[in-house]
Amino acid sequence: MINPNPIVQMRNVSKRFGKIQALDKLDLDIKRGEIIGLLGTNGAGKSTLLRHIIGLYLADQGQCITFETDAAKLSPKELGRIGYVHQEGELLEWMTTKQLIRYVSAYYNTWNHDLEDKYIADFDISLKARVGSLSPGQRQKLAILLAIGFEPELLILDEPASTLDPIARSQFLDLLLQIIQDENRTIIISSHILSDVEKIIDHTLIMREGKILRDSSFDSLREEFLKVTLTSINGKLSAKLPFENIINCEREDCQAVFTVQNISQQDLEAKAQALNCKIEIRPLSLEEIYRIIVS
Amino acid sequence: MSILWANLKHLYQRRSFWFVGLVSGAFAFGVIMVLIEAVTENKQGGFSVPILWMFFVSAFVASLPIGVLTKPFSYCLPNHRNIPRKFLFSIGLGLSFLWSLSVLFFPDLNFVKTVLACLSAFSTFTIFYWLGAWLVFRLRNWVVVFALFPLLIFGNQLLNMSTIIERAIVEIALPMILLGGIVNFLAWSYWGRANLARRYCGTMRLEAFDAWNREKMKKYSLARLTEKDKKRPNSMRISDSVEGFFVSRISRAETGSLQQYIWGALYKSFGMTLSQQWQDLMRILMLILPILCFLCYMPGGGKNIIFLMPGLMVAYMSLGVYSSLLICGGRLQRFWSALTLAVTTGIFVTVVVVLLAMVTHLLERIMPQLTVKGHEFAFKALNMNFTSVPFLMIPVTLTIGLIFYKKPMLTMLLAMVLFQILFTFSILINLKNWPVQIGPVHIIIMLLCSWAVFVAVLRYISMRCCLVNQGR
Repeated sequence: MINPNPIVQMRNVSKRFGKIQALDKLDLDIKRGEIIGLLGTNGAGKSTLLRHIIGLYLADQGQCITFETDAAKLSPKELGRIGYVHQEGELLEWMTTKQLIRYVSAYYNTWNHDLEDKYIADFDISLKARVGSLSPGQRQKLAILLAIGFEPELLILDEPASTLDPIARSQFLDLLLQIIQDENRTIIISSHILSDVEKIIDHTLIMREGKILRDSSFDSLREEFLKVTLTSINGKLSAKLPFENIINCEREDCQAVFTVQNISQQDLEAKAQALNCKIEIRPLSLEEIYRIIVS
Repeated sequence: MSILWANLKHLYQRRSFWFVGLVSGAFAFGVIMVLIEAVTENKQGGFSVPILWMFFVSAFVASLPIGVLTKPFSYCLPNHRNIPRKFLFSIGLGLSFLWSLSVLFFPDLNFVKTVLACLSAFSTFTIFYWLGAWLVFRLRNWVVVFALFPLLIFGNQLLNMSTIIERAIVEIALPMILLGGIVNFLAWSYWGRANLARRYCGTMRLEAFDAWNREKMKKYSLARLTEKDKKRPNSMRISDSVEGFFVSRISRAETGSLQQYIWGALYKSFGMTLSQQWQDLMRILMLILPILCFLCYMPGGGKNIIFLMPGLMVAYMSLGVYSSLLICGGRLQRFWSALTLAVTTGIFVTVVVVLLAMVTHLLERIMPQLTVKGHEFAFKALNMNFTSVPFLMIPVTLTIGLIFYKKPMLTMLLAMVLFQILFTFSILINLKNWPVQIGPVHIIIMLLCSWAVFVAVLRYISMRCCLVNQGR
């Protein structure tokens, strides 16, 4: 049974660093079981938002509640349910990989040693190497293991795949797909590799300049934006196409390729038929949608 | 703008070099005063003093091209390969020329001898300039060069080197000019090597004022650790027994309890120290003992530095408050583990200092009285009354470190100011007519105040501040 109560609630949260408004009156609910893609340009406020959720940052204004507790007052009980992979990759450099895993696992009575063994084997993690001497990709793999080893209810991944090679990225995606089988698990993933993100997410948060531009399910986004290829069966296309909400359009004599927003597939097909044109409709990729929304 | 000119601009574009300019200027003023004294009062040795200045300045100057050479982007810059040589030569020769003009005022020399002495001085100054620059290029942490300064000054006092060099400049001018020529030729060849850029590109080296760059210092010490790993595998690692001791205690403690975090903090901070093999500890002891003996032979209050240095050294200590490594510890847990760490460090350091003071008391009975050039030096043990100073100073520097975490330079400057105040104070209270007598009650009050302030600041930061830097 999925609990409908949001596990994270942000109300009117603002945060300023000097002249930079990192978060601007932000409202957000994250429900249990959601797999959220947090997207935005560099400096949009993604990491700041994530750090507010776990209480590393405190809001200048507003309130952030995580697991029904003020994020500033999260205790080990709540934090023990959160896994966090951070983009700066801070680890205890002077320990060996094995020592670090043992050190972190000692804090959690829910640590899954089978998962740990499997992950170490799959991701080819060297246990004897000193953490500080690992390559960026290896460090990231280790950070991911430390975040998922205790099977957290809320997994926060801040640029988790940025330093992984293509094979490791693919393995990581497989791993995430396994993790999300558990319907009670919530994942927030912030990444610039949108082609990866779109394979797993079911909800999208798009940020710019500290504000949330879009907070909607990925399915609804894919229904909202459609790419249309309209080809005239006989002769040239008319100069003015009878479609509303066209975002961009490239056209030749007999063909037009355009993106539309908030028009149903049935409407498009009916209008194409009236124009005596062949129509191909496909949903946009996350990257294309992101470009449209952010621009 | 020429490439050389663009590089020379680094001398004022880097703000940290304004400080270097200030210190070099003050130092140059001191050298000029010595020169004036040498001219007006006919004091011997004054004309060779600029070599110290050249040595000092060369260390900073040479650190600039290293900073550029180690950056991978510079490897492919067109026509940049010869710039370090041009840069060093243009500054070195220019400064040597300016200082060599001082020899024009050397008394009782005819025209020819004056010209030769000027050329000789120029050569000698360049020799010391190149010596400093070469050391900087050879050493990974070039700041070590400055450790030579006390030795140079002490050696000068002991062997009267300044007079010897001054006489060499004036009396054997031609050989000195020849020697300078050879050294400059060698320097020209050394900094013109084809593999210079390749050798330094991408290497981990500390630049000027990198000691204040937390991230770079971390990378540097890791690179050193990795090197040591290669030389002596497993030597600089946590031993299995130490790991087992701490990890079993963390595991056994109730999940989320304070004990977990306190054991964790102790493990993170002392795990490596406790894992050191006896050979490593002996090596540290062998390093400390000569310094201790040197200080105890020094007249005056110089030896009090032993009580103050620990306070300075912990200024950059990480208490784990500002950390984005998320184990399931909340703000309260961070506070308690940081406090435990600070107290444990304070006690540990104080115990070490007490032991050192006790050792000096034992040594006082057996160390002989030394006579150097008519001066007598007696071994004086460390004053046991000062052993509480580290425990007093540590919370203050840790407080400064907590407040100015994002400004490490300010942290160190304030810690040094504190160091200076306490050092002066430690000398003053030894004066017979010093009006205030410091008793146990005063010490206890000061200890309580310093720790109370630290706890209050730590509590405030742990509970009410952002715990990671923006952009980190």
